[in-house]
Amino acid sequence: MRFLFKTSYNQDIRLFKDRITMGWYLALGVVLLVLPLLLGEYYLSQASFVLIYAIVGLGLMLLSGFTGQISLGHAAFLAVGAYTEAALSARGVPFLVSLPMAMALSAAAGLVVGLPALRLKGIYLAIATLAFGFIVEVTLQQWESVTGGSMGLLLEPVTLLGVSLDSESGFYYLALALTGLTLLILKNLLRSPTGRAFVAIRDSEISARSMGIGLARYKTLAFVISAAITGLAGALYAHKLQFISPEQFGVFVSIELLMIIVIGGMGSLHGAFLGALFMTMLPEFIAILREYLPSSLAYQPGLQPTIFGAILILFVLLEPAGLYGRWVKVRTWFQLFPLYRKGLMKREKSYVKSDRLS
Amino acid sequence: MALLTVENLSMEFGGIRAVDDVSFRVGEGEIFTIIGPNGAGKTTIFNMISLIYRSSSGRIRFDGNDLSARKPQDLTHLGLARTFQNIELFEHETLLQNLLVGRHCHARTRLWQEMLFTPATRRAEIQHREAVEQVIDLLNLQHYRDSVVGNLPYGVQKLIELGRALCARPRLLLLDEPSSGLNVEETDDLSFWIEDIRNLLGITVVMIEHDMRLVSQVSDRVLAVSNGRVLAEGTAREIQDNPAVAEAYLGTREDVA
Repeated sequence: MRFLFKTSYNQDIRLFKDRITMGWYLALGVVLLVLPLLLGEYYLSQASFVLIYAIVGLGLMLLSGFTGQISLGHAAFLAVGAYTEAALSARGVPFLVSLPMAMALSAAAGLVVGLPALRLKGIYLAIATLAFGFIVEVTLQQWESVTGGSMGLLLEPVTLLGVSLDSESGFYYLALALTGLTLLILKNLLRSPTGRAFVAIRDSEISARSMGIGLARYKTLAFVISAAITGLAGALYAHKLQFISPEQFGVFVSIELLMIIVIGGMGSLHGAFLGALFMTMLPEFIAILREYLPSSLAYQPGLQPTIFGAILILFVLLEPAGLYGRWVKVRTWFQLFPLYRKGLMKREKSYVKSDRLS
Repeated sequence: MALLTVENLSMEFGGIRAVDDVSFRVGEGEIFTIIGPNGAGKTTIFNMISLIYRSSSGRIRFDGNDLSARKPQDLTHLGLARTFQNIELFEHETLLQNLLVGRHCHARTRLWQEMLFTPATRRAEIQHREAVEQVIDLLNLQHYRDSVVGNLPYGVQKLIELGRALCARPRLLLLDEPSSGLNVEETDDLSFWIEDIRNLLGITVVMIEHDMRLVSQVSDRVLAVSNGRVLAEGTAREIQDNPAVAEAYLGTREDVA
């Protein structure tokens, strides 16, 4: 086990805990940069999807994992970002302008949902966001003059400053850069007063308020930032697929997005990445699994949702802290070897909270 | 001049009058205690001062400001911080993070500065940290600095709540039963800390407390309430000798017979 001797307060607020951690992340960064040389066309495309889902995961993690506001309608923000980007790029707006606009419109949608959501909590908020998701999905189908209805819209590959990123690796680098930027901004936010205010609201609204944190302001802010990030991912998603239609942004997609953060591990930025990786790889595994299943079972249309659902249930029951929580446990086991004991990570039962603030 | 003035405060829940025409004044630098049997309305008075409840009638003035026009989140900015009877910590976070939330009312950085973590943000963060470390030193919490608070012993959690309120550098501190759940030793420590908070930091303290030993050790003045009404006000000695207070706690001779 490593012990860190701290000599300045700066050490507690920098991005990496120590040089060794920084080294590992640098190594990861190098691997990600040379990934196009290592992977074939198909797997590189999958890697781009992992990055896009990771961006959505980061956005949703900020809202649900850090601020404690569950959203079952996040596919709607993804849709707003995707359709704005599609509409703007079809009119020849350059990517560097259309991307911020897609994010801004998504953020505006976040504001629209966030304001009424201030009065709602827990399951009621989930239902309200679910309803928002339905509204957006139906709007996409019906507003044919803009969205093309269920025929969908076609997009060109991204052109960045006159350079067309139509190759698989070009898009991958774009997605990687935007993922890195999103991660850095969130990381900065979480080590500042605003991030602490979000977490305070998640853990105890009443004392957050009495410490001077305005619930309305910060909950709305969380919705807006989360929606903007999801809109960014939506714009990338649209360019990646080069075709978007309403069924790509349905309620089941919202649930899959929520699965990213639940399986990855609520309340950790690592979780968004692990969850995105898991959710992208899972259909691949299911495809491989199909070959070993009897054909009567393998080609049932409900196979994939069933497996997704079963995995979600298993995670909630057996590892509520998600993949990242499991990783922390494994890491601690090695660090403390042979002193790790069962239940080391278990939290004591917390005391009854006062519910004076309804 | 009084720092906190409560005038004719009343609170009704449905048909029940939880607080009925309560008035008191707390001067700058005082330690003022509210006592009373269970259900007397003490915490309701606190919740009205901290604006979690809106009083049915009456007025609360803090440092010349009428609080009725304010929101709960404005209070720390005005210089008024509180703790809770049942612990209300951010339990998934470390002690350090909890205390840093206490500094929220002193945060001056803008959102874009925080997103980019500009040098100004870094400097502000270090200033917050220094302020927090002073509180950690005062309350002897160094040992738990990086522990997740949900797992810490009850007594320590109570202390962290006190610390979090202190991090806001308030002028007036409201403590709701600070000694509940503490053992004798911890309660003794608490009485020293409360005196330190007043004497060293110059913070006025208003507290609700049941432990009469602690009350008589630290309080300058005591207010006894029962059934939402003020029974008596005076020094701890005077209150203990007051027949109406004894009756409220112990009942009358006829009740026993």
